[in-house]
Amino acid sequence: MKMTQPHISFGICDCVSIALLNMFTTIQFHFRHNKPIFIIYGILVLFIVGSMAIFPVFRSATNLSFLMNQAVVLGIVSLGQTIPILMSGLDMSVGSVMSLSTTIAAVLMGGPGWTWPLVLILILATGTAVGLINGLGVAKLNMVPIIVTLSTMIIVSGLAMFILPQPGGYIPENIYKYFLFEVGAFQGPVFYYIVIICILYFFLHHTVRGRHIYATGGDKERASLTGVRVDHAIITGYALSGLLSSAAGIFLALRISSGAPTVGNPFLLDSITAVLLGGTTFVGGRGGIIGTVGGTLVLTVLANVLVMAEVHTYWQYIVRAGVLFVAVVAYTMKRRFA
Amino acid sequence: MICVDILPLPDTITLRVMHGNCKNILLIFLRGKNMKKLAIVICAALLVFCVFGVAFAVSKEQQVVDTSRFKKDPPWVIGYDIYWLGNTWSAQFAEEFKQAVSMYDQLVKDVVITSSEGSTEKQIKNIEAMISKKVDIIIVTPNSTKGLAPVIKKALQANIPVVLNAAGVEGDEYTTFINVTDRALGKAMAEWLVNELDGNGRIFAITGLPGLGVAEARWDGAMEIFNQHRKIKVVMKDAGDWADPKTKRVVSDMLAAYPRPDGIWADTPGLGMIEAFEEAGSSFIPFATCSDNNGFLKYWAQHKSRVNAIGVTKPVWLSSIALDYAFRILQGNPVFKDNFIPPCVVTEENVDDFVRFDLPNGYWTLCHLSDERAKALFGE
Repeated sequence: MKMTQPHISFGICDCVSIALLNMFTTIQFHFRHNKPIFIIYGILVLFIVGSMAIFPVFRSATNLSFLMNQAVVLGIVSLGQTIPILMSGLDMSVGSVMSLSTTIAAVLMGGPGWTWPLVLILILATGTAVGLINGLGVAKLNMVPIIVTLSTMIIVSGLAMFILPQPGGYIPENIYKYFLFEVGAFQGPVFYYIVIICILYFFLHHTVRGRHIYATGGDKERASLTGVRVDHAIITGYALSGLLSSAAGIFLALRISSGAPTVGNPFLLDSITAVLLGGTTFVGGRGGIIGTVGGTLVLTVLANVLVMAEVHTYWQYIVRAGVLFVAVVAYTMKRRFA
Repeated sequence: MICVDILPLPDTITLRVMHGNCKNILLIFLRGKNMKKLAIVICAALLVFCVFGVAFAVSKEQQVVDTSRFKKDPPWVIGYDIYWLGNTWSAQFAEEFKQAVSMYDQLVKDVVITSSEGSTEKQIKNIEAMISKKVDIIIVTPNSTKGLAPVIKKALQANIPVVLNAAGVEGDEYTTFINVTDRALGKAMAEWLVNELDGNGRIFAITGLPGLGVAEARWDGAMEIFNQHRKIKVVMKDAGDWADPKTKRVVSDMLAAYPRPDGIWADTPGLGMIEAFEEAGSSFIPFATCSDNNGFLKYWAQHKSRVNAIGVTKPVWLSSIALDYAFRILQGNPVFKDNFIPPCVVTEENVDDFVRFDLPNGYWTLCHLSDERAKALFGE
């Protein structure tokens, strides 16, 4: 005897509606958990569309390629700054590490006896060493992050002044083809930026140490009770910040084709702004590098648009602060009402 | 330096032949009457070499830039970057430009003014924005000699001429450069000081903003003179950041550590230094400054018997001169590549001609700025 199976008709319309519903719930889920990211990228899209409408020159290929290059240096240093802030800390030394990197690059790359890959390794090692000192101070000596990193900032600034008292030095032309190459409108530094984002994202979200960093930021004591080596996480975090600052310094040196002992200073406040805009807060354990990338792009586009609009430099600061203020208020509203 | 080779260098084969024959030719010439011939030939060769050498070895000061490719019909859009606004000189420098440009409504359609606040990175961004906006000409005071070169090159590639004002860049990639030579300025200050001290004395040195090329160039020029005089000793040196409050603190500290200097080389507006001496109760010494700052000149003019000073100055009107050059370029008229204006000198004899008792202390006296604008800028 043949049994007839109950047949459920499953048309294409159902497929689509279920998929849509699925997508909607996924988006809703992500929105609830990553509200800052949605907000910051929303602001970014708004800015870009708005500027394209108001300033026709904004969407010119030249301007877009300038914009991409402008974002990279701030972008890389902000990625580094994200990690200490994730752990309720702060790295004040990023700007001076960048300056130091440019001075080392400008003095050694131009001088005899050094090949440029060796100089790059030396620069990255120096940055990491400064970060390690910061990390040791915070983790092992239980010092307040702002004080440790402020001291290293002053020491490193002095060191940079010692190496190169005035802007100058020389970056050999043959390095440019490895870093500042152009494929159409696509710029070399952007390629490196994307690679760094991918590696860092993988590290923070898919490795044990990365997850420990988040756990340490969330609640240090509870993390330590669950077996997380809090001190190791902190040291790694600051070392990474130092490493990325020195990498940003290399791109800065290439951008200004020289070194300068104070050139990195403005990047300290800018990097903190980018991180906060991206939704990472001093509370710790919340946020991440994707938000920081959004924050960097917003700051870069904003700076460009404000110059285009010929806004006075003092107003530019106020507008930037205004955007930061609005973003942070939007983020805290989430916590109040969610 | 641009040099044109007028005497083509002989290739290696010719050189070898010449070397081989040289001895024989000399011997032929040196025999008897030919000695005279040799002398004539050598003299003639030297003369030709000198004439052509002078005519063709063109320095950038004499090099004429063909600007016909930048020629455009007015009205123009002018891009101006304010390099820094950290002291009274830089504030007035920017104001001079604004005043100058406001007089040419017919010629100037728009002025894109950006501000770099002493940052090379920001200056690069600003100039990139000007390139995107396709301004007709860019006037900039580079914050870094090396750092700005690539972006200026980009501007030239986009057919936008670049006028460098009051500070230069490395290399040849710019349209024209207007400045007072800072090295010569520092040197002149040092020469006066050495002269006042009869080449013997212990001196203080106050330098400008650390890390900026202009400050370093002035100090290099000064050291060139000080190194020639063994008995001149720089006992203390620190940065006054071109600002009176910082200078006052620095000089006070110096006087506490070393109460009796013989002279001071001060790249500073001057009044802060005077105040520090007065507060410490130290007797005045020769002040070699680079200042025509009104506050300093007021004190100087009122206390001529006590103050022995010089002001070798970089006039703030350099920025308005840059605008003249910009117009010349946009009209397609040729300009010189480098234009160096000799530093102006304020001395005891002419200080009364410069000082303005009716204007505020922040004002720099060698200027074209109207009194109204000066008062608006620095307060009554």
